[in-house]
Amino acid sequence: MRLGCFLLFVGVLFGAPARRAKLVVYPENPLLFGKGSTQRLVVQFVSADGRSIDVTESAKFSSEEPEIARATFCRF
Amino acid sequence: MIVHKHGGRRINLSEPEKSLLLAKPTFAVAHGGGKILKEDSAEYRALLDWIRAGAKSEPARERRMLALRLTPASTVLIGEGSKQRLLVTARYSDGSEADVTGLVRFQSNDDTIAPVLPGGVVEARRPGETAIAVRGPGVVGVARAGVVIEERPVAKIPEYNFIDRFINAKLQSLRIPPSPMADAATFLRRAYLDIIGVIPTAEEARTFLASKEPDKRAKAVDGLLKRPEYADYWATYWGDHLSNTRQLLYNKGPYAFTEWLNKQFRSNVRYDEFVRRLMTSTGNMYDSPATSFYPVMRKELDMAAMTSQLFLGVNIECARCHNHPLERWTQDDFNGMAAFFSQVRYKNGTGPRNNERNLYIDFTRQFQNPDTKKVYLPKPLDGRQMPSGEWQDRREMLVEWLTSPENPYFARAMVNRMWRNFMGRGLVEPVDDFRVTNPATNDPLLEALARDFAGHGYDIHHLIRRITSSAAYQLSSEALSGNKHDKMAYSRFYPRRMIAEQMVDSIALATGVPEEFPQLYPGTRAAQIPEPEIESYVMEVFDRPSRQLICERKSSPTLNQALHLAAGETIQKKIAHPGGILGRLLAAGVAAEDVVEELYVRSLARFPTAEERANAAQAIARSKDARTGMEDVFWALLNSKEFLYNH
Repeated sequence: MRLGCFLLFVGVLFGAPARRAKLVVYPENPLLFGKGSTQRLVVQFVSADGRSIDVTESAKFSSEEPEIARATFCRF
Repeated sequence: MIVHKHGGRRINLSEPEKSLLLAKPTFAVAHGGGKILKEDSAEYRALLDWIRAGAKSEPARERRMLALRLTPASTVLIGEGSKQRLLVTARYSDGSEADVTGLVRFQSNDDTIAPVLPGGVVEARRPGETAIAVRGPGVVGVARAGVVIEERPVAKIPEYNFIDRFINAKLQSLRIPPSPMADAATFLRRAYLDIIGVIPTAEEARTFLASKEPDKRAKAVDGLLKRPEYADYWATYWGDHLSNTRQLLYNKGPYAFTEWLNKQFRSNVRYDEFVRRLMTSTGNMYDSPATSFYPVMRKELDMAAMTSQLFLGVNIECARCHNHPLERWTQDDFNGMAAFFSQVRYKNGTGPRNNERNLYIDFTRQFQNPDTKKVYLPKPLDGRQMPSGEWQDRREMLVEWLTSPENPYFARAMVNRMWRNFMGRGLVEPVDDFRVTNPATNDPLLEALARDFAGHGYDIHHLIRRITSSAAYQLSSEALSGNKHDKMAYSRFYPRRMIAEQMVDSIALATGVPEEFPQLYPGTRAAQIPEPEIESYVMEVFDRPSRQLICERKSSPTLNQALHLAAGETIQKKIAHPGGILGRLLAAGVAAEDVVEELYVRSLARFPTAEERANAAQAIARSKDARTGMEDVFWALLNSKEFLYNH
C-alpha cells in the first residue's frame, strides 16, 4: 500500500432527502498504520432536525485512490 | 510467561492453529473451563495473528495506549430496537492509531435504556440517555447514547436564563415533553424548603399568594437568603459533609464549629474563601473552629482523599493502594496530594478547656508514604510538582490551585452539589464521583453554571438566585405520560421526601408546637442542632446521618417512617396539644370552615379547593365532635404526600 491519503465516497439512496440533511462518516479522518491494517467505518444519516440513523449497512463505499486504501463491505 | 512456561507447550509456532492457547478456549482440546472463544471471533484472530508473528512480547518502550476514542461520540436512537454501531479508535504513544472496536469491552451505564450488543452495537430499549464506556489498559473512552421511543413535537420551557437554553436542548434532543410551570404556592413552598429548610408560615404564604408583583418569586428568594434559617440550614448541610460530631470534636467542639459555619453563611462568605478558611486553619478548635475540618482525617492520605472528594468531587480512594484501574489517577497523584498536608501537626493545649488540641504547622516536615517510605513533594491532581519554600504552609499552595478559576473541578463540584439540592439530582451523580466513565447528564449546562459561578466571585447567593430563577426550577412536579420515566433531563421537578430537619421543623411550624430536644433550649429548631448525638427518635427515623462518613442524605421513604407519621407521637401529640394551632383556633371560636382553610395554608401553603373544603366539612360533620373531626383533617394533611414531599 502506498503512503498517502485517500477520499472515500459514501452514497445512500433516500426517497426524499430533507434539506440540509447530511451523511457523516465515522471516524472522520482515519489514519491506517501498516500495510494490511483495517479500519471499520460507520455511516450516519443526520436529518435537518438533527435526527440520526445508522445507515452503514445501506451505504455504498468507494475509494478515490484504491491503490492507497480500498473500501470493502463486511458485516460487523 | 504464557510463551515460555511449561516448556513452551502453550504456543506452537510451526502450527499456530494447534497452539494450546487457542485449542483450549475454543474447546478443540477438552478441559474444565469450557468453550469461551469462537474461531471466527476477533479475539481468536488477534491471538492467532500474534502467534503467527512469532508470539513476541511487546516491550513497554515500543508503544503504549494513550487514549480510546468512541465515534460517534454522541448519538440519539429513534424508535425501540433501533441500533447504532460504535467504533473505537486507540491512539498510541508512537503516534499511531488503530481500530480496536473488536478488542475492547463495552459497558452501558444503564442497560435498561441502551445496552451494547456484541461488536459495539447500541440498541434502543427505553427513553432516556446513558453513557457507553470502553476500557483499555489504563485508559477509558466514553460516548453518549440517547433513546427516543416516540417521535413527537416537544414544547419548550420559557427561557428565563441560560440554564433553560441547555435544558431545552436536552429535552428537544430526547423528545421529552416538559411539565407545565408550577403555580405560585408550589414555588413558594419549594423555595422555602430548598433555601431555608422549612415551609412558609400561613401569613407568609397568604402574603405571597395575594401579591400581584411580577417579580414576587425573585423577591421571595432574596428575602430567604437574608433569613437566619438560611445559615442554619446550610450549616447543617456542611456539618454533614465536614463530620461535625462529638465523636471527633469532643463535647463542645461541634457547638463552636456549628457557630463558625453559621457565621460564614450569615455573612455570605465567598465559597473559595470558605474553603480557604477551612483548609488553612491553625489554632485550637475553640478559638479557631475552622480547624474542626481536620480531626476526621487522621493522616495525610485521608486529607488528600477527603479534600478531593469534598471540593473537587473526585474520588481518588482507589489510588491509595494502586493506580486507578479505570481512571487517570495514579498512586503518585494520591501521594502528591497527601504531601500538601505533611506539615499539619497537633499538640495538646494548656488552656482551661478540655481537649484543647492545637493544630500547628511544622514547616520542616515532609510526607513519606507509610508503606513505600518514599518522600513525595506536593503535586495537585492533573498538575505538576510544586516546590515549596522553607517557611511556606503547603496548604496555601493547594488552596491557590484549588480555587483558581482555571481549576476544572472546583466550581463544577460546587455547582453540582447545589444543583442537586435544588433540582433533586446532580448533573453528575453521585456528586462526589466525577470521572470520565460517569459523565454529566448535561455537560454544557454544568460547564456554563461553573463558569457563571466562578465569574461571579464564587458567590453562593448568586448561584442560588441563578438556579431558582430558571424556568427549569419552576416546573411542576406533575408527571406527563411522556416524561414520567425521565430522571436526568429535568423535564419536571423531581419530588423528594423532606430530610429529617425539614420534616421536624415543618411539622412544628404547621402545628404550632415546637419539638423538644434534650440538652437544648426550648424552641431550638432541628436545623439548629449542632451534632447528631442529640437524641431524637423522629430524626433517626428520617435518616439523620451519624456524620462518621461523608454521604448525601437519603430521600427514599421507608415503612418505619410511614408508621411513625401515621401512629407515632410526632404528629399525634402536636395535633392534640392544647396550645397548638388547633387548640388556639377553637378557643378563639373560629368557624370550622375557616379552621380548615388555616390548616391547609399552614401545611401546604395553598388554599383548599372547593372539593377539599366540602370533603373536610363532611368529615368533621361525621365525627363524634368537631375537634375530633378537625384533628382527623389535620392528621390527613400532615400525612399526605403533598406535605411530606418537597414537590
